[in-house]
Amino acid sequence: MQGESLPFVAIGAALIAGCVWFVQRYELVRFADKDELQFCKPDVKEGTQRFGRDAAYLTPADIHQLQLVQFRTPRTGRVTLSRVIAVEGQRVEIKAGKVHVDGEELREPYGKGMSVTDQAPELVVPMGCLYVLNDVRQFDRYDSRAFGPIPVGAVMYVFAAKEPEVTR
Amino acid sequence: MITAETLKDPKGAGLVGGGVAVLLITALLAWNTFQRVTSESAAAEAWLAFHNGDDGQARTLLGAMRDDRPLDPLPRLLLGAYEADRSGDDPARLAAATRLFDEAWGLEPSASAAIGRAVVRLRAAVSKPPEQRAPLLAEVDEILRQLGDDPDAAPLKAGLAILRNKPDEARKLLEGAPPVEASLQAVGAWHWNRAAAMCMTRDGRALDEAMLAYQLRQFPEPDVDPRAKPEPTDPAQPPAPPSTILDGQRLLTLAARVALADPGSGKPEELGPRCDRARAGLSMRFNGKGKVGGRGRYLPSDGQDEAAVWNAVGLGCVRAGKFPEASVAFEAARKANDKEPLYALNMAEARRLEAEALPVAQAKERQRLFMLASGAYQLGFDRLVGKPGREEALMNTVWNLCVACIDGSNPRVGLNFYSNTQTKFPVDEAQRNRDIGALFDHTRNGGEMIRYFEKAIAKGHPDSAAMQKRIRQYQAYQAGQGRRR
Repeated sequence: MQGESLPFVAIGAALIAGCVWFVQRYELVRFADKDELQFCKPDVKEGTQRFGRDAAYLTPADIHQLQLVQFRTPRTGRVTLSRVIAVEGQRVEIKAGKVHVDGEELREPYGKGMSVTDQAPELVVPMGCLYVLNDVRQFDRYDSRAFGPIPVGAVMYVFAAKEPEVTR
Repeated sequence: MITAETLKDPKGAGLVGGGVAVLLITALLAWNTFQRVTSESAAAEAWLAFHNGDDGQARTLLGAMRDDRPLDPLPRLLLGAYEADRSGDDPARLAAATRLFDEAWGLEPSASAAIGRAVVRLRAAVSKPPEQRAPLLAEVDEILRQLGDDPDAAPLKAGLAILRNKPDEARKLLEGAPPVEASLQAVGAWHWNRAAAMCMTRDGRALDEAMLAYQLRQFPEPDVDPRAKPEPTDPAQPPAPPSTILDGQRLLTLAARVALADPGSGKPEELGPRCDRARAGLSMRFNGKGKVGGRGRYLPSDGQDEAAVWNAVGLGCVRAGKFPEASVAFEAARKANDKEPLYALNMAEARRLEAEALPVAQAKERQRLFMLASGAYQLGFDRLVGKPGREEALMNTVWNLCVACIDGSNPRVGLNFYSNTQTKFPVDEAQRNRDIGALFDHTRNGGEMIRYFEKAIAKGHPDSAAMQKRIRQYQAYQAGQGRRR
């Protein structure tokens, strides 16, 4: 092997290693279930595909606020998509339709249809749990308002949060 | 041939021996890895089934995991938790859970095993009459003493205090927010026991706590609708597993009654916001139609309990002066238990109060609400007919219906209804004349009122004095009017 080809071999090996790492941790998830999608429209459209991080390789510290998570709901095991609003140890409260995390109102350009009558008492998210809410809140409350915080173990995939649109 | 030649040479024999040894070690390692992967995969599957509440399959998988790992306490802890969660009032499953936790404790005395042992003993104590609880509670006390200041132990200590009928002590143990390092189950139990203690001490904040507790406690969803009548099953088949989900519904019902319908449960100014929170929170649990709804979406509630919850919300709204909201809540109660006349009558009362609260200038809206009230009275009347012991309520309903019709500018409908009911439920003549006279009085038809009152007085009705007074008042009013003219 000529000396000048070594860098190319190294780059090739690094690329292969990177691909292996990526394939191990990420999976292309297709969103086709209308029932599941009703919660996070229009951020996630029917039939779209996104790279989801396999939660089996994640610890609670790797999941952050505002990321989308696909998880199995407690009690029923139904697969659902929602947005992480608070992680373990944070305080969440819903007052007059506004979500407050650690006492501060959360700015939610993605949130649709929160009613001013919506309220939930303050709750400290327990260890190893996430507080999730649907983006579409008007018609369906099938999220942590209904079934409480979800254990991180119930999360299947984590999706990067899109930059929220800034309304002028 | 080659092997034989190689073995003749000591160096070659050594190499072959080494190769065989390496091969054997590799095979053993591969077999061990395969076994491990299979075992881990089965454990992961069992773990997922346990968390997802996959009834039947979780039990089988966890059982296999326990048999596979005789010295590992984890499968016993998981299976124990699974059995305890679903034991309901079934003593056999509770005994199985107790055995599993004791086995886990025997293998490795950990905090999880101790908590499991305490939980199953508390559950067993709940299912026994109070006088037979002492030995179990003493055992729990001993276990908790060993646990010390574990953050998950506080709700258990409070549970023990509640079972010993010391709710104030339980509330003291659960003061403030739960510790941050407490698990989801412990935080759920924290709010659950605080709600129970608040119900016992008639604290109006019990409903908020109960709603939080329901969110946080991961009740397993039953495969069957617990409201459904049990079908005749094959005696060889085990019965459907009971579920603790009904406990959640019962606590919510009790807390709603304490927080909203109990006059001694807090200051009146707190009642309005509490009613709003209750309506928002409970509509997520009960759909107001007595239906189960989507799996896991609504509480698979007993229609009677659901009706009681909405009735409590309605009573709270009436006390807070929120009459339209009260009507909606009573309507939900009526739909949940359509056979009970009380909810229809409460709905009628709420609509009547709503109409009376409106200014006189809004005459059309008032009339509409009075007619809605009369419709609700009619519903109550239909359900009261034929109920033994409710005759007085029936006649009161007739009366209220007629008055609501008159207030709704339909006096003819009201009077006709009274006359029609007389054919089915006749009262004595004096009473009939007194009632019709009073209805005419309500329509401001003084002439007819006097005619009927005089007939009633002539028949010796017990209210004769009051009727005479009313006649005199009317005649004085007429005379005054005449003088002005």
